[in-house]
Amino acid sequence: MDSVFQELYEKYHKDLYQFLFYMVKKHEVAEDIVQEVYIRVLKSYDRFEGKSSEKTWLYSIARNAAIDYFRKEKGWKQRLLENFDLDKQPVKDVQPLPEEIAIQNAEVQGIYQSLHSCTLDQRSVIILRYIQGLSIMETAAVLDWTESKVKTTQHRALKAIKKKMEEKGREEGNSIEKIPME
Amino acid sequence: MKKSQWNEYELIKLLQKLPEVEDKRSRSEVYHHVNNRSIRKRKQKKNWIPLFAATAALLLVAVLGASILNGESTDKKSPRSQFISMDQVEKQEDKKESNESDYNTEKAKENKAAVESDAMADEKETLNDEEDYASKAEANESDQAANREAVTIGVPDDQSNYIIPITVSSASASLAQALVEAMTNAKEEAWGLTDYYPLDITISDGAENNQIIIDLSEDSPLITLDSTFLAALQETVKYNQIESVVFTTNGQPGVSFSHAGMLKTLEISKFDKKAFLLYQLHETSRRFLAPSNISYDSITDALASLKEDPGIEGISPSVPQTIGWDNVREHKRTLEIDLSNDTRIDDTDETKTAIEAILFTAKDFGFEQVQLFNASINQVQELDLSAPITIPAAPNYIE
Repeated sequence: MDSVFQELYEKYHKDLYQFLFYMVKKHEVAEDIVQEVYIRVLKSYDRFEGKSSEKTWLYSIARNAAIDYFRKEKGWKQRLLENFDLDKQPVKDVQPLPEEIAIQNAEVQGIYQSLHSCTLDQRSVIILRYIQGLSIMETAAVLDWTESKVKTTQHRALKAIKKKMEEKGREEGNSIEKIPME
Repeated sequence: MKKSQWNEYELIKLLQKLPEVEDKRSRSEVYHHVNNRSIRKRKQKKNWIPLFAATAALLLVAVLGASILNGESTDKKSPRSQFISMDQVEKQEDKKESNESDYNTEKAKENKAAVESDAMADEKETLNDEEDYASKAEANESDQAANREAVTIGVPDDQSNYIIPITVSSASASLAQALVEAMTNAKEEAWGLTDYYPLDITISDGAENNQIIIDLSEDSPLITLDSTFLAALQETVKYNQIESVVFTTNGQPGVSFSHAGMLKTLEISKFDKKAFLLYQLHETSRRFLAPSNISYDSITDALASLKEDPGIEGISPSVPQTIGWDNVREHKRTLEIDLSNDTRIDDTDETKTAIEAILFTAKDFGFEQVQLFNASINQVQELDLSAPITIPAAPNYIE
């Protein structure tokens, strides 16, 4: 087995897989994309020597691979019609919940579903920051953005999630528990 | 899910509760797929051009045929423009891919020299003379431990990019209790830092001297957000003469962190060779010395970096351009600095902070004292520059 693959797998597979899973919501797709990530990484690894940002480098490749997946999934017809502006297209949620999420309580299931009311950019920020535990600086490095863009997108994403969660709350019964805003 | 209103904090807490998700395949299975796909990809590339040409030709025939049948001569432009658009899309994709690989190469180049704190935890090699400094300084710190008057906790800055060691007074004889009190009473937001404490952990004194036990619950969000937690803990441990940290989960040995993996103890690093920059959230906020995320090979490089602006929000150089030095020497545990003739040393807060930044940077390399030669004045506030200055036990003391 390739020693580079072995090393990368040991160090980052868990993180990359989880990141991709939350991006695309399907195990089989995450499995497929993570393989694509390894292919891309192994192709360019000989030009990479820095150890410190290997993590953000890998995340950026994983994110690009996920975006490519969404692009392919949409198909060229839709792409032409929608002016190729993927980042502004929220992904509709019609899939059954994966096993790991289905066994969680209703609030966790709700936040999982609400995550996908965000745009791809917003979702990337939320997953990197709060699920993968990256700092603003690391997230900016992954996305090749400024830190202030990360902060703005993070704020908008939380706003979108909040809206979705509140809609869900209202939908799920008339007995509403009022919680004061901060 | 009954709630109809949520605030950001609750949403973040909930996001952190999302379960860990794992690839159920084995490593060799993944490798097998990666290998097969690389081969398949090469084959697919060869087949792509004729396939694309055939599809495009069919499309062209179909559309042209339909328009001829309908006698609509004005629609002739339509298939051509659609065809061109498809081509452009493919080009865009190619361009994107090549940009991406350029970007990756660029990133790789950029990162060659960068060494961050994560990597430092693994760096175990120390030079012989540094080990000497380390052992001597350690002995000195053990003496301080017996008379603990203050306790230090690592607090993430407003953006969680840096961990700022904050020192507060403490009368508690128990190390664990002193830490808990400091964490409970911390006023992070008032200090311009992230509201981080208290944490959902239990700290108790261990059986050994200067040992603490940290217990987490199985579903603690810190297990996922372990990078910041462990970095904050490292800064906490560093200045409190803690010899060992034992991790437990619900009383059972070890914590299985998402990123750091299974840890039964914390590897304690006392000399990280970092430079102390200045952190200040707003102009009116309190100023703190912030250890860099990068470690330096030599004290000379670390000192030079104190004057450089890292271009990160809230972080600025700790030593002004008006202070310079010609020579830096190591004399046992004392760092000797020959200030340049044009260096301006004023009796101001700014100069005092600059000297403290030099002191704590030197401390991070194992020095215990710093002597400044050629200073234009002998006293900067309470610092006596005419003799070697003994480096305080911890930075950023808050009364």
